[in-house]
Amino acid sequence: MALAMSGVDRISALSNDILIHILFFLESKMAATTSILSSRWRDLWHSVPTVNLDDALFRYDKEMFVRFAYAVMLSRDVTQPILNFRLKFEYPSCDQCDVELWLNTAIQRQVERIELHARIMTLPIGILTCASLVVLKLEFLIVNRILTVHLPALKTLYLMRVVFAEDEYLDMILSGCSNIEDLQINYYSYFGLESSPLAITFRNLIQMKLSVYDCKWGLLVGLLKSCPLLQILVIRKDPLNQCYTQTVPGCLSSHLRVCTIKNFHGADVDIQFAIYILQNASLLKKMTICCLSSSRKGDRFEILKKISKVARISTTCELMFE
Amino acid sequence: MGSPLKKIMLCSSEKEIFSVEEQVMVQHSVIINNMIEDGSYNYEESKIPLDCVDSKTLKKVIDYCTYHTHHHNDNQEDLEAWDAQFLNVDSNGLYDLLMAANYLEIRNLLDLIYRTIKNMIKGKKIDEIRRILNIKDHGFTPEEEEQNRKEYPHFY
Repeated sequence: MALAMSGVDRISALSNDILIHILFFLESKMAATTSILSSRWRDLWHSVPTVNLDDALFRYDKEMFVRFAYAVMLSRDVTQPILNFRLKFEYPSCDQCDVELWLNTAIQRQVERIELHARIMTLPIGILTCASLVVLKLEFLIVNRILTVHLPALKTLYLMRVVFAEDEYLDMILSGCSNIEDLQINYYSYFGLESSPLAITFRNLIQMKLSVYDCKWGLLVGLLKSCPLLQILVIRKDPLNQCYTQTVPGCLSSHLRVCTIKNFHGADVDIQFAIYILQNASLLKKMTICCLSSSRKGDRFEILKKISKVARISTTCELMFE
Repeated sequence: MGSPLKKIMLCSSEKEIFSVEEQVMVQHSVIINNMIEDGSYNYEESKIPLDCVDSKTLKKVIDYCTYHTHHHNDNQEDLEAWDAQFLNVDSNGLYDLLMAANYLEIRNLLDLIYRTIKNMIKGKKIDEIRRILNIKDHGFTPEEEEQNRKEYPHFY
């Protein structure tokens, strides 16, 4: 579709607010490019409240990328907030101190959304006390130091393949985000603090996706106990490595509506866990079980038989196998 | 939030009257929500005049709000497919919708339109974007334009 069909340059007649909004969704390099589009657009990108840097667009040229990033940070209209800060780099494109500088600038400008995707960086701990932060998505970082965590406004937290130097760091982060509504964790191993379950209750948490490759049943149930209003649960895991507790977290009996178990191995303990959900989640509408694609057809049929003959507490629950 | 059965009247630039479930507009339009909440709308007499929105555009806007009110529980992919079909309009239609959504402050619709325009220019060269957006007069002096072309040849 070409806007040129209209014959008139209607876009340049739009207000600055509208044009800035269009740029808001663009990666910073593209937004900067619009400054040579026409004189109308020349200075608009300095006011866009978003910083979106991706080294792939610089063909991983470190020097160019870092120079551009500084240009973006320094040429901004200082009266404008940075609501959105996204930084993605695959290669050692920037140094820790550069990134911390950019991030601290964003934090001072009331940043609401941070996305960091970087393999070789440690988490700048200033992020963990940023009062304005609503969305935090981290991928591939290393957490090797935490002082305090206080994220009162945070609603969405994604921790994907983040490496924690100490086991309790994950618990420390979770304990500082009491208002989250959407939590995704993709993690090698969730040890948790076995003796003392999470001291926090997530009063707003509605949706949780967990990919944990080494997780104990008791800890999973402990985590569920901290989320009384949880409605949607997606789990992807290796076989649970500890059996069976009888306790039923409140969210199972009163809120859980959708449960998906991915990477289902079909070990006895897995089947027991699926049955445990089906027998205790009173309001469950949909249970989806995704078997490992490598599992044999006959095995899958056996699993299906075992689980589908269980009496479900929720009469309206639909059971799906994929 | 208004009662679901109540209707409100919207009046297009051609003075055509549209009767819409109050709930539908209140949920989506910040402006209409404010009008209803502060009591400035009279259910017997008032018509909300939308002098900068023509009938064709207003009908589309109402379609959007109605669909998203009744299908907000649908899965994301279905909604996105519907949105894509909804925005399959010519360029004038897109600008008209943008102006209407901006005037009525319908944030979801605005975001959808912004993203659509973004996708139209993303990754394109300057000359191509000028053509797509129909920017005929770039407003630079010939020297400035020359300088830009020299300095950033790969963008053209």
